[in-house]
Amino acid sequence: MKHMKNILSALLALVMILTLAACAGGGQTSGTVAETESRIENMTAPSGKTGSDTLSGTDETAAPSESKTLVVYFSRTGEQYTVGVIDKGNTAIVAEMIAEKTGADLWEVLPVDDHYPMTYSALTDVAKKEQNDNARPAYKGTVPDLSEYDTVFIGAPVWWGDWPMILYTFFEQNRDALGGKTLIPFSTHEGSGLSGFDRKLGSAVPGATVGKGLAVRGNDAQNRQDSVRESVNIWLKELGF
Amino acid sequence: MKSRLRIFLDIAMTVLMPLLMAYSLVGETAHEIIGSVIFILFIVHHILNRKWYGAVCKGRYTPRRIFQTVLNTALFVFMILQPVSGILLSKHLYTFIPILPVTAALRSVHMIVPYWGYVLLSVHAGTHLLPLMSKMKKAPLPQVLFCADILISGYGVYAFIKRGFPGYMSGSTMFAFFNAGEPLVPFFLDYIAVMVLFASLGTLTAYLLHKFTKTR
Repeated sequence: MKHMKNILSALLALVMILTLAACAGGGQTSGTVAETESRIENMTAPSGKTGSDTLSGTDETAAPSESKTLVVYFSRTGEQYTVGVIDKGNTAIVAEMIAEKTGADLWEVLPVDDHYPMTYSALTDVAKKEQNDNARPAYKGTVPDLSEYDTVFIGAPVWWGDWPMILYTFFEQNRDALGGKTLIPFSTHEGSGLSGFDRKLGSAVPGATVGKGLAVRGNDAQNRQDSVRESVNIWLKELGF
Repeated sequence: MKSRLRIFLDIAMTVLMPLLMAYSLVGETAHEIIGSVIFILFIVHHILNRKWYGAVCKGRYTPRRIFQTVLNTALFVFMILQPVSGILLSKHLYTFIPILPVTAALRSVHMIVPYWGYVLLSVHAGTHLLPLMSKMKKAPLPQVLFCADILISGYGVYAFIKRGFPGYMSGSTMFAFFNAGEPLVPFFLDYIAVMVLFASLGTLTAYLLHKFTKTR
């Protein structure tokens, strides 16, 4: 019964991917998230340095809401490891801390359908199957116009030692756009640390500059937020924010 | 005196075990291959030592024998649980096996058992090295070997803590930490030191139990 559901999800995902590919064509669709007013200077190639120039602003015509940094994240609520049933994901908490400190825009990777269970054990099984199948679950909505950003923070929980497969969908579908940018990974985990997120991101998006990642214990993100915020701020400072 | 084949197999398993513990550092596929090989060697090891099973119900149970029997039984259970859970979680070699709806539980098994197994296998090896140790008394510089053993074992205590064994063995850390891109040599040196530490403790235990048995 579970397999039927997974097959249907996979078929639906395939249809969505094909539809997205058909609609998006070769370029990017313009984002509905955080439209910025001035995009002129973003047409030039980014410097390739890890973040130190990103927010110092070569931009004289910026609107107050302008941000050259984006935080992309994938996060689950429901029953999770050691934190019980949560209504805000561990990764989401960290993502918001980063956005708050850097003034970055936020974009959440959401699965196109509801196929991730809300109980830990069942979710673990689904994640395992996706990984074994090297699946590319589809995400919903359109990615913000990546040409507006120099730096993209990308975060997710560690699932079976790797990025959740839906992130690989994101990396692959946006590979060209992400290629010239500075990408900075962050993970939430319960022991695995960064689990090679940086290397795997670098392999998935050749040409990108991968910055030094941050690993946060999920339980800390949920229950020791002041301490985590401090760690995040120190990390961001080291990166030049 | 063990046959050459049995010695070769035992050494092979001893060498492969730290490689296995390195998991993603050697690569997930390599891990699954090495795990499969060790499982096969383990089975052959038991076939070659089948007389032990026949003798289990016979004879007197001295403290030394109780210790060995309990240890071996635990190891037998671990060395079934570990490969089986690994096979059921396989990502590269055994993907034809359908995923059972117990991956979280299998993962927990595959997470705790190896660290206990590694420690107890080292003890197991150590208990069987007692005759070898006795022979070494006649070696040119037994004190050097003894000192080296103490020093390496001492470092082994540090490595045991540094590599997170207490957390893994107690279940307080349920997800293995690997520093991707970490050079392999320091990792292996740490794990070999841990092996030497517990093998030495195993030899010591065997020695003390032997003495205790004799004085009864």
